[in-house]
Amino acid sequence: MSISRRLLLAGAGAAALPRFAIAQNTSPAGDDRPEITIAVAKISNSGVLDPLREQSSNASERWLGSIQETLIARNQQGRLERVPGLATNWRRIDETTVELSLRPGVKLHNGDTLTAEDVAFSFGPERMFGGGRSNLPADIPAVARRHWPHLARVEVVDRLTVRFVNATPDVTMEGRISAGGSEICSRRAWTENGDWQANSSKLVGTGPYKLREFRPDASLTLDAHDEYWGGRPPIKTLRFLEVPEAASRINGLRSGEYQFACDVQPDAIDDIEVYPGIEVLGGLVLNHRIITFDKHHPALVDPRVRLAMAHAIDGRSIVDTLWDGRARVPPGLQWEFYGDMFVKGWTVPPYDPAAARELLNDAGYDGTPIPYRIRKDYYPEETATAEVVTECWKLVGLNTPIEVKENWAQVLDKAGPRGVRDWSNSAVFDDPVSSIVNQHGPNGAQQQDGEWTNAEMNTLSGVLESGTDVGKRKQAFARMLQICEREDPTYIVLNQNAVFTAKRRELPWRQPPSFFLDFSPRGWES
Amino acid sequence: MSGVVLPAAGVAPPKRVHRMPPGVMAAVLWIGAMLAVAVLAEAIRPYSITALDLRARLTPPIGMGGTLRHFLGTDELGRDVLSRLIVSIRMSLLIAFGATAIATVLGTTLGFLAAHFRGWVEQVVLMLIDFQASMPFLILALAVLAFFGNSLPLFIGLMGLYGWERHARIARGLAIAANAQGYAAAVRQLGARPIRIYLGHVLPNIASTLIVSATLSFPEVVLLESGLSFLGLGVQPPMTSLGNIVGYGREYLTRAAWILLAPSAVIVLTTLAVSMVGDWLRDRLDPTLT
Amino acid sequence: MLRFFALRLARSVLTIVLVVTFAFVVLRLSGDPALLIMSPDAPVEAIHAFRHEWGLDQPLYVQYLRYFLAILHGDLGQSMRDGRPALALVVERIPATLTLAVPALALKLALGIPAGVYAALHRNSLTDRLVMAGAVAGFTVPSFVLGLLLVLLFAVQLGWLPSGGSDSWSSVILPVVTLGLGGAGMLARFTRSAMLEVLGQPYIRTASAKGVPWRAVVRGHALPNAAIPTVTIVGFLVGSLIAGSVVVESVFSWPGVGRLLVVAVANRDLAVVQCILLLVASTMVAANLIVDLLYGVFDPRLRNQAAGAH
Repeated sequence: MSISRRLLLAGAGAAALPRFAIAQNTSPAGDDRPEITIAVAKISNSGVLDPLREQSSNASERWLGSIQETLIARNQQGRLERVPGLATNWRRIDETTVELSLRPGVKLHNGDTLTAEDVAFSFGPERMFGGGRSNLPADIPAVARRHWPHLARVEVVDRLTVRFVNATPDVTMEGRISAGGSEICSRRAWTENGDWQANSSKLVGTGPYKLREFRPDASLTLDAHDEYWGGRPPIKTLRFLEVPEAASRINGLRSGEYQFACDVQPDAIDDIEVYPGIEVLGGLVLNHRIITFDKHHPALVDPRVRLAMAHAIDGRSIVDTLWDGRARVPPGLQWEFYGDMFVKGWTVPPYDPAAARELLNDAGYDGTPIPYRIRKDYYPEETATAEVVTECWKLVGLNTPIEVKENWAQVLDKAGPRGVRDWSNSAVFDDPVSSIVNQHGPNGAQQQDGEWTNAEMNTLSGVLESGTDVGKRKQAFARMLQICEREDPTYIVLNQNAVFTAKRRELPWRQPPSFFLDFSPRGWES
Repeated sequence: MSGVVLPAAGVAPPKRVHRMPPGVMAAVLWIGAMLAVAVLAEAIRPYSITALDLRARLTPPIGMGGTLRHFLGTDELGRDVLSRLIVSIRMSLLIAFGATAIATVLGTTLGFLAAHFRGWVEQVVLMLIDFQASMPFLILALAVLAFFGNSLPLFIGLMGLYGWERHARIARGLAIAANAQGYAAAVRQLGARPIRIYLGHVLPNIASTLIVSATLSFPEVVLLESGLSFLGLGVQPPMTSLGNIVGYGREYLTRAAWILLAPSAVIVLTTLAVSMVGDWLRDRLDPTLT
Repeated sequence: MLRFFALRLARSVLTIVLVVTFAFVVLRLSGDPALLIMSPDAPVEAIHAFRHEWGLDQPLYVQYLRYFLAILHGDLGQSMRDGRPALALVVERIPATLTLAVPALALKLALGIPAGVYAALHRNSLTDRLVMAGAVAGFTVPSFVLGLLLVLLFAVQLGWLPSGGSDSWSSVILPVVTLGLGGAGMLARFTRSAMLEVLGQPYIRTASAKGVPWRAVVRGHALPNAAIPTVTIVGFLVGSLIAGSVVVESVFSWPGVGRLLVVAVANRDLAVVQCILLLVASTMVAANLIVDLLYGVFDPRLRNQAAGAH
């Protein structure tokens, strides 16, 4: 008995040390900035850091902006509007050309000063589009083309001026420049590292933190980049630790090992905030949870059945309970930060079981099972939401057996009838092209997977992509919403997602309206 | 040490009054009650297991501030915990008994075959044992979920694959040992058919260890199922099981422990009961403990 | 003896081929690594390009033969996720896994076997009942629940031990205890049962009747004989050292082989999964070999058979 007791006490002494690491000052240079550990569910889904391979908003978006930045930034302290980043200003030369002036004196992590050459390289064949001497994996150019379908070239005008030249007119070029996948890397560092493979987990950029170590599926450690153009970073070392269990993340926060815990379940917030010294921040992000249709399923050929399914769902209850009122049912597949392109007054089909029953009756729905494929909590509260939705559908007479799938390939598998499935859509920049066109247009995943198509939608996608007249583009977008959400439904918008981060109360950090955990001086009130 | 055992030791022990100790009696009653719940599940559950009431989610059970309406409280979707518990007991007992039976019969048979035929039959059985032991169950579960979907019989069959190799190894080892002992040889010399020797003489002699192995399998299957639920590969909604509830209930451990409490208690008590009855049966079957 | 080893080796190789083949078929038919690694939102051309690059567009048997021939040449392939050699990925996780698994195994043995022997020697006493109830409770509480409860108590409430991670030696304690308690319970029950069986054997009673001190009877006759079934179980415990702690590694965010396996399986990262399976299979085969040899040590009657037929 006494032995085990001593053992425990010895353990207590050793364990106590790291808990005070935050207050300690071990650096000889008198660096009194804190070291911070952030427990995340996943660091990188793809196992690498390169933003052209790793594109998961709920994983890499949390840290990517700390390492690499875009020319045009998004205001993480405001409403994600475009603000100067590595470029101080930009102007349209014509419908296909944008010219940007680079911020002078920006230091890269390897000590170089950022020039137009780095920018041109970042959008060049060796880094992005392939061909020539490059030996990029073939998927990288394909992803780059998704981001930049018609980019012709990036011209170096002078040391601090670049021009983006598109092959077709495109009003969304500035948006694309500010989006994920358009981060600027160091030309010299990339070339010295070698090929894509060698660079895929060694990002060198201009961000407030530089990469120290990446252990796939375990941890990512970043150090302050003291010459950061935006000021001296407030944290000495940032460590992202992969802690898959939600309860373990909170436990570690309570015991003082972590200072931040990501992906907090919304309905757990009230219980977590009971603990002394812990608060939960967060809110809506630019991502909508949706359910998509395969309109070739015999019961779903009739659009009235699909519309009925939308009317049957009590989205409000889902938001009020599973999300504890901290998310919302959005106005369709659009976000307010679209600005001029936002269609005011548009709503999702309202919750109306009577209307749903009537529509089903009119369509002659005969109880044919419509399989509902989901994954086990890939999305926040996914299983619970699916169980609620299924119950809603059951109440209006729909028969939608849940099929839990283990991975995407199984969700999209054409063998066995496909009915409806879970999905989510993000807005990567402030124009509907980045969401409804990219996801549901002719090149979007839904049409590519053969779930749905609509000729008018596809014509309108062209108008949105290459049109330059604001009025006509907005009209086209409004019509798209009408088609995709009412006339020939392709998806049901359930709710806008929200993200919550629990943290030690004493740390003066603000949660941006995105997945990004901004530890730049801008995100820290010291 | 003497390996000679009188042949008579292989047959049933002499008649003797075996009074069931009160503990075992309680265990039998508990198992009986669980079986009754399982059989009557559809009739005695107060609510449907999918009927949800989002406004009444996470209602505490009686004694923690709850009402009689939901005796054991409600879960994160406002579903009645008691109803789900009842249906889960049925599901888990079905899986656990089914899988344990499959594993024990399969393992013992293969073990006996190996012990009897030796030679290449034994090599094949040993290879299968090594294969089963080397293949992480995660991958087997994945295969079944991917190729066969949420079919309950297949799931039970899959769980039956778990642990058969342990029974097989034990059965083989003990059967070889038993064959070497005098009684089996004696019976064989009397001209008994192999199947009679194994079922009538070897099996009773080694039954005790096998029973313990089987009573260990039972909770293991329940636990394995909850482990698979933990990884997202267990019983899938709308079906429910004890392991499944414990699996998702862990997220509510500090907020709504009642979701996890009742199914955990049922798992522990049922296992304890199965073990006690197993031990008792083992003593009765063990010819050396007369 | 030579025949024994030749047979044994042939069987081991066949077992491993069987494992590799089975896993290949299951993994390749139940998910497309391209979709899983690149996310379903990736453009179709990117997915095709990825498939082509890794030969996933070839017929299955071609992929299999290719993979198999490469293994024969000692090439275990690369991870499709980051292009690194699969073997290196797995090897760098092994120390972390063993750091948990070996002390946990020791704990299982140190708690389980004495408890089982003690319970058997004091059969039907109160201690026996308590030990067995404890054992049952030990292995019936799911490891993720036990782990979370231990963390709540020792890390969150008392602040004695870290809740997870692998930064200091003290972070080993809770996961090891979580792993060890369950295994110890199981082992205790097995040991007790094996002991009881042996204690009931006539030769024990004979020895006892002959006036041999009880202690000597237990040590000289009962324990070695009871060791046979127990050793079988221990063999399995040793064999499952590598992949046996998947759940505990998740709860304690421990970067071991178990978690690597989960991630690799989820992404259908074949080379990595196969590498782990080869490791698991060889551990298991080696453990079983040792068990068979031990049979001979513990039971002279089995010695000839063990040597002759395995």
